[in-house]
Amino acid sequence: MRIFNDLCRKNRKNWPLALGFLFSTLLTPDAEALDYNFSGFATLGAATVTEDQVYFGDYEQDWSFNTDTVFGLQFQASLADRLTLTTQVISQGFNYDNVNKYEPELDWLFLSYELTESLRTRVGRMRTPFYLFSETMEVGYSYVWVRPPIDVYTPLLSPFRNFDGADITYTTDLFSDTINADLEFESQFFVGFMEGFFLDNNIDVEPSTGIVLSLSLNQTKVRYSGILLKVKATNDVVHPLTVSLEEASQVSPALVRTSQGFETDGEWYQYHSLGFLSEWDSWSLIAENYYIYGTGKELSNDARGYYISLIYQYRDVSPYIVFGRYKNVLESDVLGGVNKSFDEIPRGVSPSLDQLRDTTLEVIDDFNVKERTYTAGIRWDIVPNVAVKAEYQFFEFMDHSSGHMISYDSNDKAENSSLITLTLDLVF
Amino acid sequence: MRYFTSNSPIQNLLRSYVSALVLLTIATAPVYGDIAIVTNPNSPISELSHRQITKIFMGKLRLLPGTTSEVITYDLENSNNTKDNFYRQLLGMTPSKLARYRASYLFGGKGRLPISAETEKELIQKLTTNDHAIGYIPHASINDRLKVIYLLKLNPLTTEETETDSITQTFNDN
Repeated sequence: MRIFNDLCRKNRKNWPLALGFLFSTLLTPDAEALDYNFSGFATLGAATVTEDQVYFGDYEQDWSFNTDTVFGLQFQASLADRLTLTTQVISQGFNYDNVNKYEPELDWLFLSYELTESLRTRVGRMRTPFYLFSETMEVGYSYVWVRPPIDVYTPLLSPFRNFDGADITYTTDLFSDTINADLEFESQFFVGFMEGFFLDNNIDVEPSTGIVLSLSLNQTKVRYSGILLKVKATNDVVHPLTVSLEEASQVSPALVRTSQGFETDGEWYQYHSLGFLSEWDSWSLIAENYYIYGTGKELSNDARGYYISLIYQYRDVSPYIVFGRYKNVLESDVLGGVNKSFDEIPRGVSPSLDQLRDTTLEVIDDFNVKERTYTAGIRWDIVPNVAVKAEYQFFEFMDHSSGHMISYDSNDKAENSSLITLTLDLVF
Repeated sequence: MRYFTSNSPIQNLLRSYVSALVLLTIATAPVYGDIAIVTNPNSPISELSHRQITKIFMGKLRLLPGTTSEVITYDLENSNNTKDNFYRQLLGMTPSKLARYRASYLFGGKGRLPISAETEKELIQKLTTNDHAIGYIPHASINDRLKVIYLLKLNPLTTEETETDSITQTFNDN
């Protein structure tokens, strides 16, 4: 498994080698009898942002087509009774990491084995179970919205999307002999490693571990997910700033804390989320809430978000609304160091030091994000396996941030903006 | 018999009893349109509960109950009314809702989907060659090469037989 991990983890680009490794070692001599199938999915998206001061992904005021566009191929093979190989390769029109647009990435590659009726174990690369819809975030056809609500399905967690490791899932019916209802309990435990990239940050997680507990009663489900991540993050772009801060700390010692605060080397982050999903007749109510707690040391942030969505289905048409809120706050010694530095050496004494401290404050400010979103949309299943969606999303930016959008100019920020998106989703 | 006049309370009671018996017999006996969940005669399974059938076709129960063998499920083709009615009745899912569930299941790495048979004949053929296979066919189509393990009674209120609504799909055509 160590070889598999090493092959997979180098920026996700050695996956053909990993696939070859798995096939060569796992396929039995009786390969002609292999039971397998291919399937796939795609989303073609187009959107426009109403305000010209901000952009979202690669969406700007002019209509563009990449951010929500994705193609996926999946291969499954039954290698033996109860043993299945699953692999999925996706190609996305926009990535928050350092993968080029439309460059294929190995998203899944795992073996699953049914130990008993209630126990299932998997080994390989899998999706980190952050959310209710974690496993199919890229498969637009599988959910009603254009994209899962961004206040919870934040790009902030995109480098932690997959892990290389193992999991075990236990599923059982509760009180099946005594109550006339389908009450099901499921728990998943996983452990693994992650490697990713997000907005100039190189991120390594060694290790990550977590548990998911869910309880379903007929058409209602409650789900808790708790995950621990030991994170190492370095930032090539901010690195020159930290070097300058280190040098400046010789005249203003308080800046030592600040210079150390833009990187994190093995600090534990906690992630907790609670999800609720209920369907009755033609109505569905879905809500999720999550928290990320940093350690408060080094580069550390606290983030939280939630959304609530109401969906109505009339035959093949499903209108929906979503309200969401998101907040990310930098909780570290970075700001304290800068403020204390101003006590040590007041503004105006050294213009170069002032410039350094102001730049540092701007970078800190970029970490602090707060927004509310209001969304209305409609999905229409036009023909088998194909759906079209149209969505209007209003972003209300708060605390001088641009929420999940990004400002072209930090001195000219919009107070709000809207995003209008059309998608075509299909599976085959 | 002279005691049993047409208005005698005993005869009325008997009439009610016979009527109830007839109704009960009609309600439990297979009627046209009912769907039989079937398996190979050599299968170790002799019957399954409604809940077990539901879990098997939702992909939540991946082993044959009481065994250590993987269950192989078969579907009929997309436009088949029996398939449409089967999932409406068993899971309460319209074709589009089933398609969304199946996409979530398949691409969420939960497991494999039922294998699609183009015709009832093909499905029966496949069931007869695999001891661990389970499928569904109209009750009228069962024969002695198959073992019925559950009878799904159709409720006209939850089924539709119009062609325009038979929008179903599967992903596994292998």
